[in-house]
Amino acid sequence: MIRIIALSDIYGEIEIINELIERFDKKFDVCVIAGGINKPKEDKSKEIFGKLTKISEKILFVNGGTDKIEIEDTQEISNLENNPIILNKNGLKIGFLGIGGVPDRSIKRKSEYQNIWNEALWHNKLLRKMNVDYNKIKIEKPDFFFFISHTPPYGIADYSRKITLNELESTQDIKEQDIEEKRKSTNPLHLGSKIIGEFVLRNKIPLHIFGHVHKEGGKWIKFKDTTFINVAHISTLPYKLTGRKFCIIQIERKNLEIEFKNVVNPKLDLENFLERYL
Amino acid sequence: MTSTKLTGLKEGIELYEHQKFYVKKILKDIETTNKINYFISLPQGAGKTLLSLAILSELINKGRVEYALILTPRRVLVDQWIEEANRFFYGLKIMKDPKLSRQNIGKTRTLLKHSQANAIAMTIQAFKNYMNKKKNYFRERDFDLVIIDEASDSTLAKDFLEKYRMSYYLKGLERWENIKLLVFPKDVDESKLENMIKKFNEKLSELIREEPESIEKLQYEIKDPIIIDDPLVNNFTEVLDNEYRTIRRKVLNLLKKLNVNGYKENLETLLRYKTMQKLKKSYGLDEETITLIQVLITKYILIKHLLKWFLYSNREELKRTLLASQFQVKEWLNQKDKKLEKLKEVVKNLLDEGKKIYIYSEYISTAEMIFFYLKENLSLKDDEIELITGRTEDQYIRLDRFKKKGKILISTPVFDKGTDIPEVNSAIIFTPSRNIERLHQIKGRIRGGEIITLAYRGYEEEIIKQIVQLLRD
Repeated sequence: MIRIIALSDIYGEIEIINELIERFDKKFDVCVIAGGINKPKEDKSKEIFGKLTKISEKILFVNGGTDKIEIEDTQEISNLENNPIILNKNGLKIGFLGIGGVPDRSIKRKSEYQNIWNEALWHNKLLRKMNVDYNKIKIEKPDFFFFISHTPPYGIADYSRKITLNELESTQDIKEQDIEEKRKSTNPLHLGSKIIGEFVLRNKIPLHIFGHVHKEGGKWIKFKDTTFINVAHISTLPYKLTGRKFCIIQIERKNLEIEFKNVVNPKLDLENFLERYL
Repeated sequence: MTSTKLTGLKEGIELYEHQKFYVKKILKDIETTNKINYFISLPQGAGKTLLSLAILSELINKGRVEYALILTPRRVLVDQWIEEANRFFYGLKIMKDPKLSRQNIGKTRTLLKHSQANAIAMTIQAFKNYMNKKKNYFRERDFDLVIIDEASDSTLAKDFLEKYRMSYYLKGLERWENIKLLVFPKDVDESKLENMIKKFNEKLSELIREEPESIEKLQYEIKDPIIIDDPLVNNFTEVLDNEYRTIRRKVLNLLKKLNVNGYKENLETLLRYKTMQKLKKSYGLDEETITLIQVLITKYILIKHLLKWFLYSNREELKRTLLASQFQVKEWLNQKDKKLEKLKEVVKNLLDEGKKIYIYSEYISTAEMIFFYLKENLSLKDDEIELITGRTEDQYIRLDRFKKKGKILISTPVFDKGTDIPEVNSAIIFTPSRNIERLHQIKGRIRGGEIITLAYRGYEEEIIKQIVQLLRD
């Protein structure tokens, strides 16, 4: 059996990572981070990776829209955008590949992001890169393929309004009907990437992990040959109610077990729970 | 002998006595007084659409009206007006929101003339968009008559969201000098009606509200709520309600301390950027205080949502929140949903009795959930169950299909006003509104029959019992 912890959209919140690592005595085999590690112009990735290595033997990550983490791959930490990885453990061989960044049409204010691409202009380039990586690990004949991206595939767990990073405030929790005209006018859209969707579905990748669209976090959907998991978001903002979330995936032979959990104290009674976390 | 009239009722179709009376009265008033705004507030089933179309038709024949504008709060009603005009009248053509290009600005009359239409029907939202984005697209002089259907929805209301809607939608239409027929149900709130008439200038307005005797009295059986035992939900809702009240009180105390008055009834407006800027100037509030007020308001709105999710079986949303990890909530989420199970049981019994059912939900997600749950658990065929929400494209086609073949119709407020479903025998209000006007509108969709509600024992039971009493009164 292989145990994986998957999370995304940390936005440099070290405290939440501290709370997370306190929960586990036994190490996971892999920690997957589907981007959103830092706030813009702030790099806390080393500290975050350092802490997460305490609960996971290996960290595999991709950059989000706000990240530009350029580190050399080590035994413990790998950027899947540099190279795909084969994990051979407990009689299971799993191939991991990934792509970082976000399409420019999925964000509101480009100046806040440093890792964006245009779907039309980058179509061939991105698709080629993903295909090359896929073929590299396909030769090894893994039992499973994991595809990791920050951006969801278009049309799957990707429906939301665009928000700016400055809007990382708790008022975002409120439903559309309660907010002012200005915000209401930003209609929800499918914010996912068509290129990513095309790649995953065409190659029948069994598992796709992503983040980015916070409102749809916590959804896992089986569509055609793929299980899609939106693991957003472990940060407490912008949505307090849906934050503090991570996903545990267990693989045994050909079976997948997926469970979402929250970094909270589950034993608190409801009154104290609301007081503490809302 | 052939009629020389341009338009009129088709052969074999006749107005009811009360309709004839009001047509005659309004036409006489138009001729003999300076009144231009006619507020027609009649009970469900009085045939308000037909009455308005008959007035339009007569005014066309008299040469008083050439072109009319018909505004409705919802898309489904636009189709309904067009269908009623086609079904009951000859020579009366209503065209749907024409979506003209910019080149046609100022040529509305030309367009109507070429298409041989007497009127354009559109939603008030579309009208607002035209008035905002394409100024002078619809001008006062392009029309001789304006009909506003379900006018109480588009014009004025007490609470902040609807009040906000009033100025948002009308765009000065209340000052237009052409004849206006404002149509709405009898149970509209008195003060709302007064304010509405004031807004349109009371000297130029006439209210038609007396209940004609010829209208058939509808028989409703408002059943006692069906009580569901689920102590966990009762505990959650009590805690949430308590929390909601505490936070609201905190906000009110804070505002009192700061001497900020006038927001007690509509605290949510304080989330609006413009309102807060105004307060900042007038009361000298600092950023920290503003943030504190907004965080508290946000918190109680969130709690209100959570409360509804628990009451209305919105497990999918709850599962994705951090509450899903709290030990009691987790336990509850692992159990079957008792309210949905009870609903299934009630629906099954009604279907066995050969009844046609209308299920009302205030929220799209709940309506969708009920649709899929019943379809799967009662093994219903595609044409036996229909769902109509704001997300549904072909609302009118689905409604028609339900009337002909369907057994169950599930809908949201998109469909709660002006559209009748006389074929239905039983209405189940799954997520009841606390607004009496809306409750009567839901009830009024069916032409008599039974009204069923469901409630968890305890906290919700008390609320639903009050609602049932309001419906009975």
